[in-house]
Amino acid sequence: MNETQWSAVQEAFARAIDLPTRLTESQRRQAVLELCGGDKEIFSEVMPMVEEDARENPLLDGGLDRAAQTFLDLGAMPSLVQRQIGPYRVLRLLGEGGMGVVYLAERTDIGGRVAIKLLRDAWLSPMRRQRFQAEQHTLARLNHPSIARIYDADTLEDGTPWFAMEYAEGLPLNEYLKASNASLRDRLELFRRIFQAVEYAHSHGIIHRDLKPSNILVNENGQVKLLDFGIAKHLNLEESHDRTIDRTITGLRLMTLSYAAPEQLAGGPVGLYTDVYALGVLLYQSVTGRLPRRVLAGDAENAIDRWSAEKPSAAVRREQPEIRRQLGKNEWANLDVLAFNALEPDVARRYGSAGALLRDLTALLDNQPLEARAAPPIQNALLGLRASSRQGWLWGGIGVALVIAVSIGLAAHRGRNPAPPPSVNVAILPFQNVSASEPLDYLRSALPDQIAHTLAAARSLTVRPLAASARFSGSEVDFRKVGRDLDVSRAVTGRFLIEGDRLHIIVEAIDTIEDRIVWQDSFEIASNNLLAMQGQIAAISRGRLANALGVREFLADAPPRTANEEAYELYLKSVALRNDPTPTKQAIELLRRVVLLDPNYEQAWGELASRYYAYARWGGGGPEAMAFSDAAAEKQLALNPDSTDALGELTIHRTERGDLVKAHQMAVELLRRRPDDPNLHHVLSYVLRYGGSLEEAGRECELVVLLATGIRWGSCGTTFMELGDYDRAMTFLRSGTEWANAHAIEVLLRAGKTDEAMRIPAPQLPPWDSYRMLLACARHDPKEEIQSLAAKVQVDDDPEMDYVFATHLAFCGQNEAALRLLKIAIDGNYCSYPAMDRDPFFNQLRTNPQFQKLRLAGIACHNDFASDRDRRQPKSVRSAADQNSASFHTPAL
Amino acid sequence: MIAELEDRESFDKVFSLVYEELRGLAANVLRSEQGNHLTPTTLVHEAWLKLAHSPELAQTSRLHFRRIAARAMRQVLVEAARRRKAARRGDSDLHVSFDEALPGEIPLPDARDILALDHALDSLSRISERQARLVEGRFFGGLEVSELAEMLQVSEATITREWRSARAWLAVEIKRALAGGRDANGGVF
Repeated sequence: MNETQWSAVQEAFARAIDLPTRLTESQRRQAVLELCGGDKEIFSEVMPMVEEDARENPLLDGGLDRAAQTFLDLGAMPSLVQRQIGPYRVLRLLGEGGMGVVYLAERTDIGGRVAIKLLRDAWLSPMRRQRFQAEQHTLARLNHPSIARIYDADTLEDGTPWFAMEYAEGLPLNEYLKASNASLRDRLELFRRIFQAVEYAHSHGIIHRDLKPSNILVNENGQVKLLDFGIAKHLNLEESHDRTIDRTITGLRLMTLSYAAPEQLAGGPVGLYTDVYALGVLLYQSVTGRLPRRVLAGDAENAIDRWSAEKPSAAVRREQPEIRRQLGKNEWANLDVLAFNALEPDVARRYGSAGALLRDLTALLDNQPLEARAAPPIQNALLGLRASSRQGWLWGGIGVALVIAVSIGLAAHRGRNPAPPPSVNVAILPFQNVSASEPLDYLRSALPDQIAHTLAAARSLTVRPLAASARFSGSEVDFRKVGRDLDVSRAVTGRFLIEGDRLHIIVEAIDTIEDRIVWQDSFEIASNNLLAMQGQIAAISRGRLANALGVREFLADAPPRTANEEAYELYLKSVALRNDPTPTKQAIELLRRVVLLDPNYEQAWGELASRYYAYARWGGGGPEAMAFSDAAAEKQLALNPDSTDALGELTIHRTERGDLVKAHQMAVELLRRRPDDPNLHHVLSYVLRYGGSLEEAGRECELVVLLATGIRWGSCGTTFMELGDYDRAMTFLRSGTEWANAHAIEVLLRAGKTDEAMRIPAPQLPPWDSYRMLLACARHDPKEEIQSLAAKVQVDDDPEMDYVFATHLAFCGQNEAALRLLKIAIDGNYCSYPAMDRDPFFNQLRTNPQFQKLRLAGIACHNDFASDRDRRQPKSVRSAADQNSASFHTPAL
Repeated sequence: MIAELEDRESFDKVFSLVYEELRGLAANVLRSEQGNHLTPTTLVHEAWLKLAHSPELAQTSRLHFRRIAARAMRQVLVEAARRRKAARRGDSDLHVSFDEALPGEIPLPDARDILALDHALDSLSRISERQARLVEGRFFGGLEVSELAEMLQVSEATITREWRSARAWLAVEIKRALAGGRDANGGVF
């Protein structure tokens, strides 16, 4: 039957069911046949329908609930007990959840027991398989006596993936404590081991997110085993939901309420501090015998949890006076402080990680002062910043007030984390192609890209963006200048040569202060075997080169590489393409093929995300390209949940979509992970600018500069322009790109440097007609010309662009259009009303009632943004300047 | 094309989430005493309570959630039915169809009925996508007429009318399938 017939059937059916009931069976059939226009085929469909319509249907009428009762045996997959899986024989079921089942099994060849986890319903969606693999990946990364090891992984014949891991015996924490009758001091020692295990995971960037007694096993020797890092669901029988991975800030979906941190309840970003909260509850419970009392105070909508403060010592005094003597007075006081700091609802004031908690518990047991009792960490942050920036003296020029503001800002990010070890800054320069041959020329930029990617995960090493170091190419590089301009002490570069079918590659590290080579390595491979080259480069970067740069530790495993030759080659070619619109489009074409060839190629997804963004913003790609950029970044994130690149990218997107609160949370969380990453400070400054916290945005930009002297994040130019500091803005806009030129025009015009502005060539890209109009106005072109240019100014899907266009239109006296775009910008959550107040382009509009209304809308928008942050951030770290800017004041008329 | 891809991906994401949630809840409840009172509607409701505040669902309205939940529930039940059928392959002769049941006794639906419904629903979606969604939402998601009207952007009268014809058609299809399939001419008479 087709759709047309179906509508004929339905029409006849609708009339047939209205036929009088008194008809005999044959009369009815005759009448229905007539309703079908005599069409036998239609009739053969309609008549049985009419009969069924008159009849009860237990399935369709009884509804799902009845249907389900009979066979909703959602429990087990077909049992695998006694089956052979790889070298293991399955003994019994240990547990199961929504995602997988876990069996106890024994190894038949060499003996020994393991737990085997299988993914159920692998067919359901690729995402399930991805997440299952991510679990495996997490386990494989962790190698600690308190965390189950992974041994083996494969798939069954029907495609069901499984992996085998260490089988842990022991009792869940609460049962262990009940059974063991351990002294308070023993309990605290036990917690030290628990904290150590969690700290280990934290140091690998893994948040557990579901710490609770049943996930912590203790064996008879008091050894701890953490389960269920999105993995070991098998001993988690009560609450086996198998929530896994996704250890990004997207948050957790299910949690055990008693141990869930307030931010989890609120659906906010989770971080290491989320585990700290759970550990705090566990500790409290183990000491006092009950959960800390929590009272929801008024703010149920946001589920901001206010914990009613009862000190553990007080609870014990009242409820278990007999154990009070087990600790001294000072120790009790410290325990109170420790518990409070772990259970602090405000994440900014809570211990930042299990490591911080561990240090204080150790101090408590050693009767030393706690870090949590120490003075505000401003000095530490200052020292940390000094240590990480060789040129701390540069501050002299900026002024004392700024230094304090900056260091306070930094303190907010650093929290209680200790100052990191001194960081080495390195620039990776383009390689030289010393052969005459062209085909592999793209390796000049592709090799640095590969090295940068590997080094990105190195601890205490900051790699300058390749875009900034790209200009230092060729054989005549002045390495001292590289050192000065990019604020680096080391540069990495190299050469390659094709001889016949052999590709020779030399990599070297240069001391930029003394201008000498401190390390060199070379290798050769078949020139058609790029995958081998990829492997070599990655191995060298992570090994000998990292060593030469003083890297002692990597924060994450080597990023997974592609095994697809063609994908890799296309990827390398895309990397070599410049960021202008046409090459960007070519790069997108290449990268789309790359990810089709290898959908798990994380780096390629990342590249695709940033290329699509560039295409959306400056290449005319529009919202569609933006959506694709989002999708690519999400994909990258799914493959590598630790990717700060992907998260940074997504944060920028969110900001531009007006989701400022979330974007701000993300930016803060990112900085918590990598407090010294200038790119992430830039991301935060971006969000703050959109939110109208201009002063703070400016400070973040200062930090960007401090952390990466010599590199200009163009968007900071906009921040300083809005702050009215036009000279400073210009320092960010000297790169000579279309983008920088366009922005330089408006900065110079605002600064009154009209002649200088008019010397800048008009940008040619379509989204920038507004800048051409600006130049025309500055030149006092005929009115009609200006009007025709003004008509071309179009609404952009980035509200900041709409705001900027509005200022241009105002400058050109196109008030109505200016107000229209301004409204669109503010409706899109561009809340920078301080910019509105300062902008000379708006001088003509300031008394306009509609403008004043829009200004109020901007203030309201900013206040929404700021009030949410106030809730999450202690007042002390926000400067007085910003507090002022958050209040209403009369505009200067 | 891009938008479609986006949509499918986000659907897939939420779908997997809901599916797992439903399974997890069902497995949990089944193990407990309340297993006897378990209903899919309760499950969907619980799933919503648990998931509503998760960031993944932040952009998802309750209605949209229930549409996805309906799809997930269908998947869960069909899977369960398939397993049940496989486990009982030996005694399929004992299957009593509705017509053969003793008068006065309403037979409980069988695994085969669900599988037949699933199959018939697929056929329906080929001739009327909207009606298939309607049935899915109503039967597997427990959506009310007003909710279906909102979801499908049609009037409540249309929903009632289309449900009635879809129901009748499905009843016929299921009966035919259980009776051993329809003949090539499309008729059983």
